[in-house]
Amino acid sequence: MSVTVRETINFTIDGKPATAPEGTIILEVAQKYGFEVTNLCYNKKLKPFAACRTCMVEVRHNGKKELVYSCTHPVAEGMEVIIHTEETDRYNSANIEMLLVEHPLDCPICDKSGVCPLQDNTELLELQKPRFEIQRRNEPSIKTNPLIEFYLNRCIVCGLCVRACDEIQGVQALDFHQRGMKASIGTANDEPLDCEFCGQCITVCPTGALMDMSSDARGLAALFKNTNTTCSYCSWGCTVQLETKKNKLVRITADETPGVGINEGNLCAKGRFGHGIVHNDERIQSPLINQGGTFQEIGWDEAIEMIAERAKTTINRNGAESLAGLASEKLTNEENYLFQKLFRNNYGSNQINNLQNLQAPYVNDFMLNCFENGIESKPVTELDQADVVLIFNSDLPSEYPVGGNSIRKGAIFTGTRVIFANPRNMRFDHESRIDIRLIYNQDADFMLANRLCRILIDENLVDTAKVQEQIPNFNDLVASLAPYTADATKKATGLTNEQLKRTATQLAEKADRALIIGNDVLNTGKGKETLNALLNLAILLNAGGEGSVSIYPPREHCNSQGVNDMGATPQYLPGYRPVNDAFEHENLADELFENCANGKIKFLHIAGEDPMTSYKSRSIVEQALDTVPFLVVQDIYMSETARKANLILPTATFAEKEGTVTNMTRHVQKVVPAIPVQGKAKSDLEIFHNLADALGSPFKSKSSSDVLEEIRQTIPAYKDVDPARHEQWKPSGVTAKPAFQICAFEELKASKRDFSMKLLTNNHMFHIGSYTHFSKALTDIGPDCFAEINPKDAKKSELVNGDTLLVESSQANLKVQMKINPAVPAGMVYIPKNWPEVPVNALRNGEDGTVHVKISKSE
Amino acid sequence: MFEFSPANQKRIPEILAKYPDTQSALLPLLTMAQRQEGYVAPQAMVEIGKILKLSPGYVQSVASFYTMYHMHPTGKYIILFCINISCQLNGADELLAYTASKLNIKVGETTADKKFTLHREECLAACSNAPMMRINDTYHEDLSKEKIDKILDSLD
Repeated sequence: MSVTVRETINFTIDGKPATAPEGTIILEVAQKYGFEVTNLCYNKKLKPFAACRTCMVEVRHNGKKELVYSCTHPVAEGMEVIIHTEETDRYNSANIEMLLVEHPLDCPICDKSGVCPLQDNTELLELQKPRFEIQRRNEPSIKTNPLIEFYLNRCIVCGLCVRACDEIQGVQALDFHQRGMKASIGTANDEPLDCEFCGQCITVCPTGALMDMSSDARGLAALFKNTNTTCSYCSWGCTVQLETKKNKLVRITADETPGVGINEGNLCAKGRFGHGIVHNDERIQSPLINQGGTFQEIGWDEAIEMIAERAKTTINRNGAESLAGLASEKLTNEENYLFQKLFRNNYGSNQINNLQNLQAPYVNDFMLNCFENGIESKPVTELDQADVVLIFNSDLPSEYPVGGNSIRKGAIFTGTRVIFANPRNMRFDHESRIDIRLIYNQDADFMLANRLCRILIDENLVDTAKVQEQIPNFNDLVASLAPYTADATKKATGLTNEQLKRTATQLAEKADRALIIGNDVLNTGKGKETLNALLNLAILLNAGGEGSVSIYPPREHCNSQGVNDMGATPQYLPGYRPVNDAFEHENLADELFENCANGKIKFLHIAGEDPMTSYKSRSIVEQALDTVPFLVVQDIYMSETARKANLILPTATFAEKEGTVTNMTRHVQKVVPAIPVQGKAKSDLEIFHNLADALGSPFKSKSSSDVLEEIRQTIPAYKDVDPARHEQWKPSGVTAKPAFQICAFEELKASKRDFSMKLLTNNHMFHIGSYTHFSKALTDIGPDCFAEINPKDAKKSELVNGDTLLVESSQANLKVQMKINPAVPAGMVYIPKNWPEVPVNALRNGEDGTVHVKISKSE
Repeated sequence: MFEFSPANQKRIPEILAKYPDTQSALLPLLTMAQRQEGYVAPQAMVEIGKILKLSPGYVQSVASFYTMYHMHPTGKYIILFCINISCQLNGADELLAYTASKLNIKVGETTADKKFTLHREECLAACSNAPMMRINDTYHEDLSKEKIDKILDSLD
């Protein structure tokens, strides 16, 4: 909650007493108290606008009677609000009647029919008999972009799409054209829509003027069955509404009803249009066995039996420690829990890990350190009430688009001050009065964060005496910050001390602060140092400043948090209980792929991951998978990893399974099946159950809810969490151990002469992980991989837009189309990591940190 | 491609200096573009958006809202013929039809020699001398067919 306190106002609605914070508009309170007010252009997420003029109410205040628009008029002390009078109904009706002059009554074939505010309001005001002559427009529908159809005959020019595009998404792709009778909405110069394709405009459109074209099946919303579930892409954890008909997923929509999900009905392109992965002929159709390089279909029983037999013989011959499992950041908590249980209880092996923990094991320690220092992660639903948001090395519109939506809303309604720190000068438009942009040199993240700590102390921006009192090793921190002088920081980051002082001052003011850390931090080679510096920054602000600090840790996929909570790591059992002496054998899972390549691991089971494309270094994975004597891969699609398997098991997508996932700020949320498991596939949960049965020691649990019950018994933090209410799990039984995390200073490595450019790779705006390529809608808007370079580098190497770039590292080289983007700094090559034909991770040569490359024009 | 002329380029900072934020300078810049080119071209709107840090869509929404911004190429002389109540009662409709037939175009069109563009316009605040029309920046009042002939013939 913001630190600004708003006064409470007392008033009445239709004679019933009501209260609301000052400045609240009448319509918002009336809806909260359950009154129905006609309106077409109001949305709680947007600024008051008053376009449709259908929400008039009567207010009596200080002895005066007034007719006001309830969507813009704030409540006042002692005000009496009367929602329906003969007079207001007459005015509101007249305006709707005028809209109906033009609005086509093609409801039976309209996507919005049944969830249409125009229908609802017409009914509410009983407007069955039109008084005006009908004058329909008959313009053809505009289908110039692949996903969003404009059928403007239905448009009532409420402006919701224009405002959502601007205020929620910060894009301004849509705007009004002309005025009066001719007014309509459209793009600049009527060019094809070219935007972030978040589809927010479809959600807010009250009439079906804007429609989702991504699905073949169209039509009446009312005829579809709706299932609310959690999106399977990034770790923000949005609730999506799956619309199904005859057991087929037809489209994905957003539900704006308060309390449904943490995203207020906001979605991104991936979440809304990425449903093509569900019904897809390219899915693996049956269990497959690799016979000398070709895959043959086999039966499920045979496949399961084969894994169980192989596991048993490997245990007998090489010991349980030679069996390893790679759990998944995309499977549910229940599935990951069973997977680690299969290894630990049934096989007796602790060799279990997940990709995030393999690449950045310090993220879990960072989270636990936050707990020990009393630094919380507030619910993402409260992000729009933060006073200051520091977006640290995250390209929010690509990484957490819906997080960006909340921050923009905060900038409007809370006055959130936005600090955007990133090596790339990425677009993040919002309406905050204060916007500090720190565009710093790549990899200098830790310098920036540590310098901010030092300024807070040096300039006495925080109460250092108070910090010293609360945190025992304060003096060690001060000593460790000595190298972070203004000059050294300027040299490393390119930022002036004034910029950083202004930032530190903004952060130090009494405020509710949110610190969003992007996944790029983990690829700098100094991820641990950076996270620790940010933790120290948070501790300083928390102990020595007023207000609060909330940290949003870097987690990439929908269940990157949950897979670690479930103990799919060699360090921790479920609930972050230390493994200690439970297993006596050597820890091979920390270097999983190395230990496959060197022959120590004989049996590898990969559940729903494609490390060939998503692990930081491709060569070691390739060696590992080629060497390991037995490889089982269970996945939805034939990934490059699956191609190397001895046995492949087809699994279910998120739309077909039940369970829970945990997002980056630990909201545990439901995954609800909307359709049955497709074809011969099985859910990962069923596969693990089958395996335990075949091993002769079945799990007690039978269903996903049984497993959740077991998780609740095992992990105290999950005990009272209700996934249906999108609750966060809170750390339980953590002993407070306030301490700064001290790291030794190390200068940034200079680029090698031959490879003078630095590579940056992460998820594209329209793609994440390796499934989105199978969604036609997403490949339509994000078809090709483009490397991006600065105009200066382009000039130096005589490159122009559309050229093919040859990117070479000391390890490998690849060719990719390029475009010039001034947002990318000189010296950086940015390549998204989501195209299998552009294997960016092949460029890594085994060293940690940023990959150094050189570029040239490919002939 | 659209570019402001060097003289107009020089005026941009002066215009911006008058307002607390760049958005407020939108109408003056649209006007400047129209005076330079005769109309507001799509590229001009993109260029103005860049100068003022506004999206081209927003610039267009503002430009298309005002009837006095022309979104298509115009003739040398733009005739804005008032058809609002005072002028109408004094015979504006007939005079407008007369002007159109004299120029051999429909209202909203430009003559083939690119000399005249004819538009209907709402009240131009010269009701005391209705009917009236505006040609570029000049008001012509108390119109009659003869007077229109004379005015149009005098323009080259």
